[in-house]
Amino acid sequence: MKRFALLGLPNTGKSTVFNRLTGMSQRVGNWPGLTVELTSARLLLGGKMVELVDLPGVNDLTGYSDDEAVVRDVLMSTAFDAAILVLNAAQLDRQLPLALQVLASGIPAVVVLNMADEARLLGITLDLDVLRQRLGVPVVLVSAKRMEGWPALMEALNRQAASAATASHAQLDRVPETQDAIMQARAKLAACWNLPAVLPEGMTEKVDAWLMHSWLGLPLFFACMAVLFNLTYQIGTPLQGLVGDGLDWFKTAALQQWLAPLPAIVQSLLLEGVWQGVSTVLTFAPILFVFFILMAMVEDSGYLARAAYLTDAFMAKLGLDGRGFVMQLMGFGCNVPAILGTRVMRERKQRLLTMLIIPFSLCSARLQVVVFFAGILFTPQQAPWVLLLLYLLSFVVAIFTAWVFKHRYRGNEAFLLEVPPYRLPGMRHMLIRAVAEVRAFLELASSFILMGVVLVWLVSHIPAGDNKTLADVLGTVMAPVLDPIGIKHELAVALLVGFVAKEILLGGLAVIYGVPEAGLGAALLHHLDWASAMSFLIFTLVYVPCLSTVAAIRRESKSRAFTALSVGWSVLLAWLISFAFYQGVHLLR
Amino acid sequence: MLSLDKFPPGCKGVVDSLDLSDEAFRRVAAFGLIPGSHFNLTRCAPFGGPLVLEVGSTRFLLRRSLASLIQVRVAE
Ligand SMILES: Nc1nc2c(ncn2[C@@H]2O[C@H](COP(=O)(O)OP(=O)(O)O)[C@@H](O)[C@H]2O)c(=O)[nH]1
Repeated sequence: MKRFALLGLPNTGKSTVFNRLTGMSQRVGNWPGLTVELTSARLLLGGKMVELVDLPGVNDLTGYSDDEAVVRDVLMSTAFDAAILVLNAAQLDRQLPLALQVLASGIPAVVVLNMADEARLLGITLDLDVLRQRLGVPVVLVSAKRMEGWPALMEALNRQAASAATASHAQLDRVPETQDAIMQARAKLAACWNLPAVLPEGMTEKVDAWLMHSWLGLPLFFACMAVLFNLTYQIGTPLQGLVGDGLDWFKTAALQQWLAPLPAIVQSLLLEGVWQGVSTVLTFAPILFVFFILMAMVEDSGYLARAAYLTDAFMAKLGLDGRGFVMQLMGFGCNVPAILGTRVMRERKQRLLTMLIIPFSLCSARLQVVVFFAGILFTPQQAPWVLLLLYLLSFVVAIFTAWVFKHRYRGNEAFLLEVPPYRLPGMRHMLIRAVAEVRAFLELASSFILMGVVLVWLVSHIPAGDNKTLADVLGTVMAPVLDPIGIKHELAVALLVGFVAKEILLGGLAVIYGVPEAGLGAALLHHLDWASAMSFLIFTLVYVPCLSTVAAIRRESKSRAFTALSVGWSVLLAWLISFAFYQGVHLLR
Repeated sequence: MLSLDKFPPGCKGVVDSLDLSDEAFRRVAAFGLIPGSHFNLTRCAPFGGPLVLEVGSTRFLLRRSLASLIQVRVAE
């Protein structure tokens, strides 16, 4: 099998080209020794099977960024038959140097000048034949979004795949340094690629006059986020309900009958353990899907860069960049996709810091718990204020966390970000991406969550003598940490349930007090005083959102130590805040 | 000659020199900012936020802290 690398600068339409060539068949996969995942897919070119590997977008083969190191590692460790170099035809002045570096490394290349439509609108003139001659490799001009120029591209790729040459490793020692590459590129482009002296003013400038306005920009940003957020709920929540109903139906209509002949304890394990886990995982799928579509829209339309522009002043003080703010806000819907969405940040330290603060965003599952508790502990007049205070708490905790860790995960000050022209996101492209993301996440999270749910089941069902279960023992063992924060021993297992997923926390509480969920409010008031109920609520808000988030952090950081830090830190903070609250209330009384 | 963070928005300029580490220089050069290149400072975010520059047809943002290390002059 042949192997082709897809290379190019960030934002040149590389993944659009990739999707156009490979469609749904792509796989997101781990590459040995890398801290990022690479997407690859197989396709038939020139009668041969070719594996196409999508490499991260880079500016400079000799650069120091994380992605640049990744690309160098891959090019050195793996033999490629060819590189498909995707460049933005409207920005050849700054993109050709990378192409020259790749050509110098000795890998056969096909140069794909993408965004032909935008280059045309800008009035750029290009002499393809001259450029082809000067570069000495096939050069095609395409628009991946509109599939313009596709036959020529396919012909060039087929010819490349059909060639009998053997795959070769890149010779990185032959790659010219940045400045040399820039000078060489200038010479190659002289009199064959021309930008008009005055660029025509387009739609982008008019829209930016509003969206990047000094004082209207921020309100418009928050309005955009509010719309996006509502959309996630409006579309995602009903879908989630639908999936949940379907799964419940399957459980009562089929599963329970099938399992009926089995002993009660096995039935319970399978239904309340394994099936509960499966449903928890599956109900995540719709919200993830919707989120990825919306996120892709924000990113592909070019708005993310504007959001970064508007919020960077504040975020830079926290050691973050503006895009982190968008992820933090998305986390208020669901932490899992927000964690996965940090992938737009290409610097590892920035990503880690952002991943550390996202779990404090009060997500919709925790909101359910808060609304329930606020409803029973406060008057209808007080409840909204309590809710607001808890939202503020989640912001403060996130900011505090960033402040504590910003030196450890210090980002690079040399933060530059392209502000692309506004573009209409491609529907097909977004769908393919969302499906691949959801699939990859489910593969990973399912085992994690299944294990968690089964563990909780075991803890609450394994007898430990004296008519007690492991859960009771757990409460007693945990007493020294639970007593100072006023959390009753029987709630230890509820915290364990909440660790798996906040969606099942209220149900778990109902089981603990042996009441139907409708009677839970009264039961809680009966068993808990105001201060311990609030302490439990605060703890619930601040500690680990759910196992899926932990799974997402594990997947994205590729580091057990970091995942442990994230979990440990949030539990510690939760305990400290609950402690301060509970002891404070007692001092005041 | 003045540093880029003091440059008037809406004006065109030329880069004189960049007082940057090797790493930062590569990042900046990847957007076309090298000695002698022409740029257009399109806007500055409020509250000390980033600047938006245009070099050729590429528009990008960079932080003021970085801009203060880049010496430029107004283009005639
Ligand atoms: N106008 C135009 N936009 C394109 C073209 N190809 C890709 N895009 C858009 O450019 C943006 C970046 O594309 P993407 O494939 O995500 O780039 P990547 O970062 O290089 O993988 C998206 O909004 C695409 O829809 C094209 O040929 N013409």
